[in-house]
Amino acid sequence: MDTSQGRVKLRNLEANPYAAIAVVDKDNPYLYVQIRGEVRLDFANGARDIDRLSMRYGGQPYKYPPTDSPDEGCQNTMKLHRYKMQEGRTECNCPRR
Amino acid sequence: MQLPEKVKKFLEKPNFAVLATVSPKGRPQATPVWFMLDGEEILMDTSQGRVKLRNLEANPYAAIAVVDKDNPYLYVQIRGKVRLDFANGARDIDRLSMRYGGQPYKYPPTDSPQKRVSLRMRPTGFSGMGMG
Repeated sequence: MDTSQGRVKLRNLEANPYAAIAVVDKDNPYLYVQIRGEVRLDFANGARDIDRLSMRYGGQPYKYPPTDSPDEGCQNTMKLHRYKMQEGRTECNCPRR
Repeated sequence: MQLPEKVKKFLEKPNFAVLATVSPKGRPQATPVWFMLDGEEILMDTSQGRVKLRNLEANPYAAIAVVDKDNPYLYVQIRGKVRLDFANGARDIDRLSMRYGGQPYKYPPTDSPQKRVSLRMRPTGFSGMGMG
């Protein structure tokens, strides 16, 4: 993942590196994966990695809004490591389909 | 605090929420849940024995992120304090099930009406993107 300096998530992770992500299938919200882990901050490769993510999601390098910049130390990469994974259907199940 | 009307309007749509709670050791958990706005509170529902309930008993502060299923760049985050309601869990899971599935909740073998617990989050802050 990737964020910018000044964001709450970065401040939180500097104080406590443990985090969790939940990824929900956009075509079937009853299908999801939760991953818990410890996040390492990489201040050196944030600008490179936001472009990699932007290619994946938008097919082009990241377009910076006026409040953001690729300057060194401004974009931070966060890498989850030592993760645990739990795969399943949502907590509040609908009737099985 | 009161949520702005445009946020309340967005919450009417039956998107899923991702509910984040924190364990006594400071380890977050994040899971998708059904939710609905009930007055000024965000209503969710869980079962006894679940991690999110154990976490909320130790630390009632939580956050939800609701992402629009038709436009993932549109989202709202709401932070708040969760009150547990052990009396109305079975009633409220049926209300949620009606909203998301159009029928009362069908219990899997591992669950029962006696185990359901309502989660009522009173918002203390929010943020969002793409809300105009």
